[in-house]
Amino acid sequence: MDGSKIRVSASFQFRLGLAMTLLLLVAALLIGVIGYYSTMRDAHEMQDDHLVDMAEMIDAGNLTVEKSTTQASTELEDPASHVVIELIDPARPAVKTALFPDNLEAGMHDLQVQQAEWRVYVRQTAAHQKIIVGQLTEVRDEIAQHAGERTVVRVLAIIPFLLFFQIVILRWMLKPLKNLALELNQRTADDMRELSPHELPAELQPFVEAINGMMRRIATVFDQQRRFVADAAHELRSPLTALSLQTQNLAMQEMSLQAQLKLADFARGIQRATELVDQLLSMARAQLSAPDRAGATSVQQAVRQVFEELMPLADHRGIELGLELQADVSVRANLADLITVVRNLVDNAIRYSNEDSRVDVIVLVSGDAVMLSVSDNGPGIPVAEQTRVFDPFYRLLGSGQTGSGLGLSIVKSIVANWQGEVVIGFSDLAAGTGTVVTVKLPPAAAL
Amino acid sequence: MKILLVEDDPMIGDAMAYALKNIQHAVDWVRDGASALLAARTQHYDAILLDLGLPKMDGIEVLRTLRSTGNATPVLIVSARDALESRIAGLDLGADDYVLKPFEISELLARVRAVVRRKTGNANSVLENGSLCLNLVTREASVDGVAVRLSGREYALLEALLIRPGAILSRQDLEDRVYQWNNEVESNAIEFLIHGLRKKLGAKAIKNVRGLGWMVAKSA
Repeated sequence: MDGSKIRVSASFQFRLGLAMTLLLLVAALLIGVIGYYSTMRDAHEMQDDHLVDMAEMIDAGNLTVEKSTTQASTELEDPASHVVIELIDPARPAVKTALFPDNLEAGMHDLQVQQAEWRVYVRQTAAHQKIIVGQLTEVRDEIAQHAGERTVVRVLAIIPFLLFFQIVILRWMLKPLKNLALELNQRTADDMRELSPHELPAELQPFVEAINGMMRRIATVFDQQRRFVADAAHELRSPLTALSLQTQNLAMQEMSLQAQLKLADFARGIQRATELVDQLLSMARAQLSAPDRAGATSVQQAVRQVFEELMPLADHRGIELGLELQADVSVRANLADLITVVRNLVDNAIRYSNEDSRVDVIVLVSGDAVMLSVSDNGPGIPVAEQTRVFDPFYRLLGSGQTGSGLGLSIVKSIVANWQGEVVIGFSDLAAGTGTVVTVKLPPAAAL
Repeated sequence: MKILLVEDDPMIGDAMAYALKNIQHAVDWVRDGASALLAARTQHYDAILLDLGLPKMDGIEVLRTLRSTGNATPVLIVSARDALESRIAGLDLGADDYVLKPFEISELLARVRAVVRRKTGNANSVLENGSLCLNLVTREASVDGVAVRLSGREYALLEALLIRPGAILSRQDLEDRVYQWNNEVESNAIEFLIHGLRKKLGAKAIKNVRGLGWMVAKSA
C-alpha cells in the first residue's frame, strides 16, 4: 500500500483545512482584485468631483485667483496635487504662457499638453469667462493606485486571522474524534470495554455503535476460547493423571530390576507429556489473557518464587542461581504472568548452561524502564537462530534437552501483552557464547 | 485414617483408591457431588479428597454446602483446573489445600497428613529435613542423630528456615524472626549466626542464594 497516500487521506482535519484554506484564498483574491479596481474607479470619480468643486468655488468667488487682475490668463499651481487653474477672459488678450488651449468646450476633457496627459474641467461663467481646472493624469492615477493598494493590503491583513480562527475551529470540531482515537489507541489488545457514545457528534454515533458491536463479538469469542482452554486443561490432564497414578501403583509391585528401569523410563515419558500440556496451556492462556487487573507486583518476590521452585533442578546440574537487584521494584503485571516469564527464562538458562556454572538474573532500573535479564554461560544461540527461537515448538538441534519448545513463545506472548519487548543475545559478546535474554517489564512506581 | 474420595473419572478414582488402600487407609469412593454430600453427612471422615468437575453437583458447590452446614472435615481439592481463580475460590470457600493433577501419590499423602495434623491441633513438634532434625519442644537440634547445642538466636534462625524447607528467606525476614523489633541489629549479625550454624551443622546445611537470602534445601 502507498504510505503517503494513506497518511493524507487518513487526516480528515488536514483535508478539510486544505479545502477551507484554498476557498479562503480564492475568495480573498477575488475580493482583492474587485476591491482594487472599484477603489481606483472611485478615486478617479472623487478627483473629478474635486476639479468641479474647485471650478465652482472660483466662479462663486469663494476662491480668489490673486494674479488674475493683471493677466488675462492666470495659472495657479498646487504642487501637491498638481492642479493647474486658468481663467480665460475673452475681453482680454490671450497670454502666451497659457497651458491649455482657449477653445475648449465646457465639461470634462482628457488632453495631451506638452507630452503630458491632463484631465481638465472647463466651466463657462455667466460673464463668458472660462475657468479651466486641470490635473496631471499621472498624478491622478498614482493617487487612485494608492487607494486601490490600501484596499488590497486590508484584505490581505485579514487572511492570517481567518486562517488562525479556521484552525482553531477545526481543532475544536474534530476534538471528539481525536479523543476517541486516543482512547482506542491507549487500550491494551484485550480491553473489550465498550466505548461511551456520550459527548460525541451525531455523525460518529453509528461508528461507535459498530465498534462496540464488534468488541462484543470479539469478547464472546475470547470467552469461548478461554473456556475451551480451561476445559482442555481438564480433559488433557485427566488421562495423564490416571496414567501417572497407575505407574506409581505399578512401581509399588515387586518386579525385576530391569522392569523397574523400564518403568522409570515410562514414568519420565508421562512426565514429559505432562510438561508439554502445561506449557501448551500456559501458551494458550498467555495469548488469550484476560484484561489485566494487575496492580503492582514485586520483581523480587517473583524471582524468589522461581528460584525456590527451580533450585532442585539447578542443584542437580551444579548451577548457582543469583539475583542482582539494587532495590526491589514493582511492575504493572500480575504475579502469575511475571513468574511464568521468569520461570521459563531461568529454566532455559539452567538447562542450556554448562554444568557447575552460574545463572544470573539481573534487574536494571533506569527512569521508569525496568529491564530484567537472565544470562547463562552455555554455548549460546547462533545469530541466525536468535529470532527463530521465539517460534512455537522451535528447538535448538543437538542440545540434548527435551523441552516443549514453547518456553520462549510463552514469554514473548506475555511480554507482548505488557507491550514490552524481549531481546536475545550473547552474554559474552566477544567470544560469542552464553545467552542473555532481556525483557522490558511494564513499569510501575518503586516500592 | 478414613478418607472420602470424590472422583468421577473411573481410571483416576481406581488408581487413587488402590494407592490409599495400599497404605492401610479406609477409602469410600463416590463419583458425583450429591453422593459426596450424602456420604459426608452420614459418616465421619478424617479427610475428603474432592475433585471439582463432578456430575450432579460441582465440587465447589459441594464444598460450599459442607462448610455452610458446619461440617469441618479437612478437604483437599484435587483438580486439573490450575487457573489461579479456581484455586483462590476453593481456598476461600474453606478448602484446606489444593493439589493439582497430575500429582505424586507420596506428595498427596504428605499433604493429607499435614492437613489432618493442622486440623486436629497437634502440629508436629519435630521439624525434619534430611539428616537435620529440630525439636520444637526441647529446642534441640541433631544431625544424623548426634545432638548439637544451639544458642537461642541460632535456634530461632534455624527454625525459621526449617518451617518451610526450600523457601528463600531474606536478611530482613530472618532479622524479623530472630530479633525483637526494637533491638538494634548489626549489619552482619545474620551472616555471623549462619556462619556459626554451618560450623555446627555442616557447611552445606544452609544454602546462600545470591541476591535473595538463605534457604535450607528441600530434601528429596
